[in-house]
Amino acid sequence: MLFDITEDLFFGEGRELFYLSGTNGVGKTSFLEKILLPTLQRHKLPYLYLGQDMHIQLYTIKASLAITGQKIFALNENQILELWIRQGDNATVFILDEFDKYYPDYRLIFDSSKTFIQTYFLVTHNDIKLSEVFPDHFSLYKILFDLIESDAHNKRVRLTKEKIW
Amino acid sequence: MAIAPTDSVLQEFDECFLILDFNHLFIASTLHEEMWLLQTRDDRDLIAKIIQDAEEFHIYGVQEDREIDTYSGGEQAILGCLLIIALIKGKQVYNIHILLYNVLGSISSANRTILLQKFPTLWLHNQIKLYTNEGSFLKEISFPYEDNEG
Repeated sequence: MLFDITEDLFFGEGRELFYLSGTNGVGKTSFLEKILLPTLQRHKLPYLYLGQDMHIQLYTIKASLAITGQKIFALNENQILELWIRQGDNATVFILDEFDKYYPDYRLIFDSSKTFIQTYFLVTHNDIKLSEVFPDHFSLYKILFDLIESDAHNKRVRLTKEKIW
Repeated sequence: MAIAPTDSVLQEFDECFLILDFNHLFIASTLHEEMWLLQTRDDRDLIAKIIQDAEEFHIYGVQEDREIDTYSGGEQAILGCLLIIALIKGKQVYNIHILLYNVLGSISSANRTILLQKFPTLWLHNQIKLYTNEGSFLKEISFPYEDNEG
């Protein structure tokens, strides 16, 4: 997969939410896994990441909380998730890949993390009406993934950034 | 609304539904192997139909022996649905309830429209009912054909 990035996808200037948009197979998750995450790791920027395979991650989250001595057995999955987020308060970036597929309400995420997260990256196919759940004082950008060329072996995708507000 | 791990999905719904769960879409590693598991025989026509249908969703390069995890999550969800539709169509299988669990949320709205348009013929000929989840609640997907039937 080849990405044509038409302008710098710079972040870190104030509080921002980047909403990745595009049809299936254009590389949204690949962009997160192969470009964004390595970049954050290279610059030693702590982050929280909820991937597409949420139910597998939940097992890992439960294990990591248990190892740190948290008493999680009386908690439901929502409470576990909230505890995990609050424990990660040294993170400044939060990445969510189709999170609303499992849990339709983003308020859990934003209410738990908006005091310390500076940048959100969001992938969703649902019309979630961000304006209704959006944390205050964040700017919203859309990163559109546009398939330019495709054949059996390669895809070429253009990324454009647009400020929504 | 809670996040429901797959084992609880199966416990709760497997007696009533054919479940397509996003987190466990395929057992095998290729379409060819998956079809073998489901039908215990080669069916080149069926796979050719799936490959052709996939192009409606701009999914190109589908091959029967391509590793399934080389497709994106949304592409896998679409291929899983196309496989079910192809297997049921034309068969003497009736009155099945299909549950798409966390599947529609992984598909773009344009592809969702195309996909759901493939199910009404199953409803007409095989009395298939289609459900999806919203969180841990189930919702039946109704089709316009229901309103037009006398």
